Parts: sequence; C-alpha cells; structure tokens
Amino acid sequence: MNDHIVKAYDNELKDLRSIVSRMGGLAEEQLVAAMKALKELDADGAWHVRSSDRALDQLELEAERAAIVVFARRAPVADDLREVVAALKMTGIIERIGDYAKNIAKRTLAVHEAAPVVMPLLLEQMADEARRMIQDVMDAYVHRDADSAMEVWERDEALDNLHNAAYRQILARMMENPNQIGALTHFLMIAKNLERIGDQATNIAEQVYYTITGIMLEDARRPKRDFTSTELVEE
Amino acid sequence: MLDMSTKVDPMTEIRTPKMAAKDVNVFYGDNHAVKGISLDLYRDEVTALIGPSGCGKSTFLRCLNRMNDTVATCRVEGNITLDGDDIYDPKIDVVQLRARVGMVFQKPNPFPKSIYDNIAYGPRIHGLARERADLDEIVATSLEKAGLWNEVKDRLDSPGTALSGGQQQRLCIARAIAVNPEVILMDEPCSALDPIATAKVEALIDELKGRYAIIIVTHSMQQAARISQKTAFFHMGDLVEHGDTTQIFTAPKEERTRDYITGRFG
Amino acid sequence: MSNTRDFEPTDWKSPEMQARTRKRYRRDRTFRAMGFSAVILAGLFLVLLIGRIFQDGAMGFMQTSIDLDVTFSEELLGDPRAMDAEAFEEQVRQANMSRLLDAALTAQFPEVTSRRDRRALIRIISGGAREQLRNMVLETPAIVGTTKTVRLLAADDIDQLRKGKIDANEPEANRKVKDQELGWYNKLVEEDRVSLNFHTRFFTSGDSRDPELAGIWGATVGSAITLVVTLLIAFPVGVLTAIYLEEFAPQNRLTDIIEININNLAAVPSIVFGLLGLAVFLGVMHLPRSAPLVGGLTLALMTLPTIIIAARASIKAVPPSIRDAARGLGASPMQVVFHHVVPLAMPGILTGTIIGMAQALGETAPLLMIGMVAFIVDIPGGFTDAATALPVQIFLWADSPERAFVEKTSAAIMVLLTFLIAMNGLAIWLRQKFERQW
Repeated sequence: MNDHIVKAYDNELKDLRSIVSRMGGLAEEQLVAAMKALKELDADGAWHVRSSDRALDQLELEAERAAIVVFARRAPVADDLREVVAALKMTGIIERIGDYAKNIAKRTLAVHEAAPVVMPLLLEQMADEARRMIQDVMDAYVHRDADSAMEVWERDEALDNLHNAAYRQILARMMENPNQIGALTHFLMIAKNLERIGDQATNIAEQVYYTITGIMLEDARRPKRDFTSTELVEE
Repeated sequence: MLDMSTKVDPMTEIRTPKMAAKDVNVFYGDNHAVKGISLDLYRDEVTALIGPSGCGKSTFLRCLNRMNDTVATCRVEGNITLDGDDIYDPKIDVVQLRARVGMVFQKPNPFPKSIYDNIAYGPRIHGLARERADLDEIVATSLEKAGLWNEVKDRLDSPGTALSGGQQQRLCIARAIAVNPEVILMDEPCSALDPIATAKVEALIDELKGRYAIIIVTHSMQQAARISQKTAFFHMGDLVEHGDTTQIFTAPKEERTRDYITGRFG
Repeated sequence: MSNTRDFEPTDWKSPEMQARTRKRYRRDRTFRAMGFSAVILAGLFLVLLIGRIFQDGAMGFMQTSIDLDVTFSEELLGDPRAMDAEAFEEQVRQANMSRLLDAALTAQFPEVTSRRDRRALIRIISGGAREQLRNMVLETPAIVGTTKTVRLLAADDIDQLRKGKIDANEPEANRKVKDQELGWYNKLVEEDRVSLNFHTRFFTSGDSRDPELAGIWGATVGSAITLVVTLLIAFPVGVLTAIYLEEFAPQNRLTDIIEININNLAAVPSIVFGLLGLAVFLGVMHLPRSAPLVGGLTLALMTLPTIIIAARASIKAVPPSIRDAARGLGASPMQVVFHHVVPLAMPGILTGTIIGMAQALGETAPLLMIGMVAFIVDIPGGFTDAATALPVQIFLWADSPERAFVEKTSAAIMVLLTFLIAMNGLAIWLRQKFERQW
C-alpha cells in the first residue's frame, strides 16, 4: 500500500497497529504462563499472570485513545477506516483472551489450595492449539495475509473437537473420583476457557480478514464442532 | 480533558509563549469584530483558528502582523506581544515585524516573476544576502523546506504563476520561509486547492511544525483536526474555547463548540 | 376545495410554446441583423472617408517635372577654374538664374518673342527651379559652360493639368491654364519632356506658398518636438498622480473632489485648454508665441486626464493579492508600489499614454490659440523656435486658395493618419506583449 501524503497519519496508524500486535503477543504469553503455572501448580506463577493482566487492560485503553484520535483527526475512510475499526474490536477481543488466561490462573490457585490433582493431558494439547491459533492470526495480521487468517478461522473445528474430548475425559474422571469433583470442575471450566480462546482467535481472524479484504466472514459459515453445551453426554 | 488528551508535558505550563494576545478588541468602524480575545501562541505548535464565517478569526490573524493597518476604518485595542514586545508599540517597525511574522494567504498569490525571484524578493528587500551565492542558497533551502525543490529545481527561471495551484501555495510558503520568520500566519491556505494539493500543503505544515509558530485559520474543521495541536474556536467575535485539538474534537467543553464541530449549529 | 393544486407537466410542444420559441428566435435574428448592419454602416463611412482622402491625396506624393536643356553660361556664372571658390560661390549666389531659364525656354520655344509671352512662358516652370539650378552649380562647379538636360519642377497649374485636375476641353475663360500655355504644354508633351515623378521634396521641406514646393517636414518636426514636451510633462505627472490617488490618498472629500474634477477635465473641449495655455503660458509666463514648448505644455494639460484615468484603471486592475503578498513579506508601501504594482500596471499605463499622445498629435484647436498657426518655412530646431504641427499644417493648406493644395492637404492627412495608426499599433503591441508574458 502507498503511504499517505501526510506522514503523521501513517505514523498514527502504525502506532495503532503496533499496540494491537503487542497486545496479541502479551495475550499469548499470558496463556502460556497460565498453563505453565497450572501444569506445575505454581501459585506464584499464577499470581504473576493475574497481576500481568493489568498491562493488557492498559494497552487496550491506549489503543482506544489512539483510535479515537485517528477518528477525530483523520476521519479515516476505506482501508484506513477498516483498519481502525478492526483494531478497536481486536483489542477488545484480545483483552478478553487475557481475561480467560487470568481466569485460568485464578482457577489454578483454587486447584492449588485444594488437594492437588493431575492436569488432564488434553488441556495441554488444547492450550497448545489455542496458542498456535493466536500466534498464527497475529502473524496474519502483522503480515496482512488474508489467506492465513482464513486458515485460522477454519481451524477452530480442531480445537472444538479437542474440547469435546477433554469434556468427556474430565467428566469420566469425575465419575471415577467423586472426591476430586471440586478440582475437576475447575479443569472443566479451564477447558471451556481454552475453547473460548479459540473462538476469540477466530473472531480476530474475521477482523483481520475484513481489514485486508473488506469482506465480512459471516458467522454462519463458521465451522462449529463444539456440542458440549447443546447435548448431554451419555456414558 | 485529563483522561482524553495526551499527557501534558509539565514543561508546557511554564514555557513562555512566542506571541501572546491579551484582551484584544478590533473594530471596523462601529462593527465590533473581535471581542476581548486572549490567546497564547507557542513556538513548537500549530494553532488552528476555526469558526463560522465572520466570526473574527481572520481579523484576529491579521492583527498578529498588523496587516489590518492598511484598512483605514480598522481599530485595534488591547495588547499583542511578540517575544514580550508589544507589536502595536509606535516604536516597532512594521516592516521588520512582518519579516518576523510571515503570512500565507487564502489564494496562492505568487508574484508574476520567476520562481527564483519570488523566493529571493523577501531576502533582497531585507538585505539578508550579501552576494548572489548567499541568495542562491536561501532560495534552494527555502524551496527544500517547502518540499518544492525537486519539482522546480530545473526551472527556477520560469514564472511562478505557471505552477499548479498547490505548487503555487507551497511556493508562497517557501517565499514566507525565505525571510526566516519566527511565526507563520496562514489564512485558509488550502481553500482554493484540490484535496491532493491540500494534503501536500498539510504535510508541509506538519513538517514545519516545531521550527515556526504556525497559526492557521481554516474553514475546514477536519483540517484543523488533522494539522493542529491547539484549536481555538471563535464565534461572533468571541473566543469560545481554546485547547488541545484532540480534546476539542473528542470532548469539547463548551456547548457552542460541540454544536459547531458536530454540524448542529443553529 | 384546496387552494393548492399540483403543477401540470409543462407541455413544451403545445402550439403556444412553439410560437413563443419562434418569436424568440425571430427577435434574436433581428437583433443580430441590426447589429451587423450598424457595423456595415460604420465600415462604409470609414471606407468612404479613407477612399476619398486616398483618391485626393495619392497624387499629392507625385509632382510633374519638365525636362529642359539648360546651358550653364560661363558669362553669367563666372569661370570656376579662373577664380577662387569663395568668389565663384558669391557670384553664383548673386546671379539671376532666371536668365538661364529664359535662355533654355527660348531655345525650346524660338517662336515666342514678345516680352509678355516670354514672361508667361517662364511661369510654366516652378519658382523653385532657380534655386534648383543654383544648387546644381554650387554642387558641381564643373557644370559651368556645358549644356545639360535638367528635370525642373513644373508650376502648380501645369502639374494640375498633367494630373487631369484641369480639363483642357473647358472654355478658356473658365480655365486657369490658357490656350497659349496649353499649346506649349502640348509641344513639351510631344517631345516627351513632361514627366510625373515621386515627390521627395514633400517629405523634406517646410511650408511654402507654392504648392509644388510645400512640404510637411517642418510640421512633422514641430509635432515631434511638441509631443516630446507633452510626454516629458504629462507622463511623469500623470503616472505619479494616478499612483498617489490609487495607493496613498486618504479617502476623504478632498480626494473625491479631485477625482471628480479629473474625470470632468477629460471631457473639457480642447479649445478651452488652448485658451488656458494662452492666458497662463503666454499671458503670465511670457513664453514665446508659436513655440513647441508652449504647444507641448498646453497639450500636456489636455492629455493629463487621459493618462491619469488610464493609469488609475490599470493600477486598480492589479490584483490586491499581489499587494498583500508583498506587504506580508515586509515590503514598505513604496516598495509595494514600485516593485509590484507599477510594473504590472505598466502595459496599461503605456497604452493610455500612447493613446493620449495620439490624441495630442491630432489636436489642432489649442495650438491655434497659442499661435502655432503661423506660416513658417523654416524647419524648427528647438523648443522655442516658431513651429507649426501636422494637423495645423493640414488646416492651413485646406484654407489655401490654390487648387493644388487640395491634394497636398489629403496627402498630409494620410501622413498624419499613418502616424496615428502606428502609435495605436504600438499601444496594442505593447499590451499584448506584456500580457502574454505572464
């Protein structure tokens, strides 16, 4: 894309974009840190994740301010308009991802306080998949690659499938060890959080795709393989 | 203001203004055109004066380099200082004042002379160049600063009036820069230009910011939002609101400002 | 019943509408036809005027000459070889050249013997012939003692006869050329001694009572000196006045009164300026009468309003943005005017000045009042020499009784018109040249 005649405008957009990608990186780190703390049942690590979330909130606020300035001063249109609107929405979504990571950390503390329970392996797989989705979608954003964004958007299915499996696995363990039900419920919720993170990554992919191409990916076309909230699991 | 604007540098509050207007009143005969305006203008920022037609913003601008002197019926009261000196003091030489406070007008008005002579005119009458080589350098530097050098360096002898409208306006800016002013006044510099030429002039203003105190009158609120750091809203000769541009355009404090910039003016 | 009703769609094709259209077209055509006829009529008048002047004046540039075999007698003129140059010159100056002519004519017409007839015979040659012969001898003294065929100017009546302005078929009593002269003329024609040549003398000599000797050079030089005076006074005064009034004068009653009076002065009849010149320059200042200096001063008074008005108009036409630009850079009021306004207004100022000068060149009445109407043979050499001007010369010749002055008058008018057209052409050229550049 050609530069704007007024360089300051380019700089403002660049700043906005850099805030968004910084947030993406931070959210990814938060997720990794939260999962590490969960796996090792590390209370300090979990505390650290909880307090780090404030940085994300701060960045979101910063992005919001920058976007408002661009709206007020540049009256962006076309690509620029999509860029700013998408950035505004993406920061909201990424902040939500951060919240999920924080929630995982919070549950880690709860699990830590109760009797320690081994983390189901599937959760690690899920976290891995979610992390990669975030990483890939942020790469697509930075490199303005619509195809990669579309690919991430379609990959949500895999995470949904993993979530279905984890759900059943945890449920099975609950039936086997009713005394661990407290901790396992937390794991259930953590699995749900990871699944939500995947959903948010697809939302980001939608925004990235829209920014680059101007085409909105309808929600209807999103692959949906998570049936846990719509069916009862029979054992 | 505090939460929406970018952080205020503590230096901002103690630095001294380049130009300061205190309780300035301007009359055209019986018409009270500017009513008790006080405004500080700083060296490293662009101040935009906005407001509906006839609000006194252009009149106020023209007081800052005494261009109103030639209007027989015009009377200016109050106090305007440049680096602390009253510019309406009878001891002030108006010719020197205008060299220090340059002006760019609404319609591009290059002299019907060559591009070179357009730029060289100011330095010549003020004796800023001792020899031809100095003058050549002033011309080249001014055109470079105005971002016009690459476009005209091969035809400095062709008439300035043969340039396109946008180039003419940048030539006028270069001409103002050539006398090494401290303040540049711009009276709707883009109102006669197409959007691309406008953008180029705005980019230029953005680059000149910091080297000169720039005060620009504009009819386009968008332009004020794009290029200025401070915005002053005039209405019926009053200064309604003055503040950071971002604050004015995101959270104006005065109802009249809000109504004007949002297009609700009654 | 509602008061408002919907507008019917206009039927642009209805008969009334079409009639309206036709009527509009007809009016358009009539107006254009009238305008065109007016132009044609004006053109016809112009062609008529120019044609008439040309018809009368074309022959004014030609003059009839008679070739005679003149014997430069040594007896009359002295021998240039035998005496020193000064004495010879003195003798030639004193010699009665008529005797040479008389002898030549006697040789040509041996049958004419009576004293009265011979006096009539010598009158077919111009009175200027004696001067012509004298000059020939002074130029080449070696000519003395030889016989040469010399082309001598014919008298004005013979010239008119040659040009067909005098009809030989009219009864003798109504004719200026009598039968006897006609006979001599015819004999000369038969011998191919009569010729019609381009008359350079017309452009090189001053006024004369004899049409064949009269020229416009004196009047042209008089006009030129007069115009120089006019230009030197009217241009600077006019332009400075215009600059002051446009750029510096305060807007008050006095300025208004001055402005109105300048405009009024432009409409004052020129004879009034002549009277003013008479009263002030001759009456009060006692300048010499008939002098180009006084004529120039008087014409300058007359031209001033024209120059002031033209200069003000072109100064006013300089866009105010240029003044703003210069002032914004710190130019002083005088720098604004002399660096920017005046150079830009100059083409207009020059045009106005040239047109004013052309007007002055064609002016007669004021010059009559200050005595530039005298009969002056000498070519004026300075500002205070007695002189006349081209239009006055035309006036004088038009008043002369000799038939031959009619064509001289028209010829002089043609010369004057040429000058005027040239000046107006210069004005147009200047305007276009400077306007094209920027």
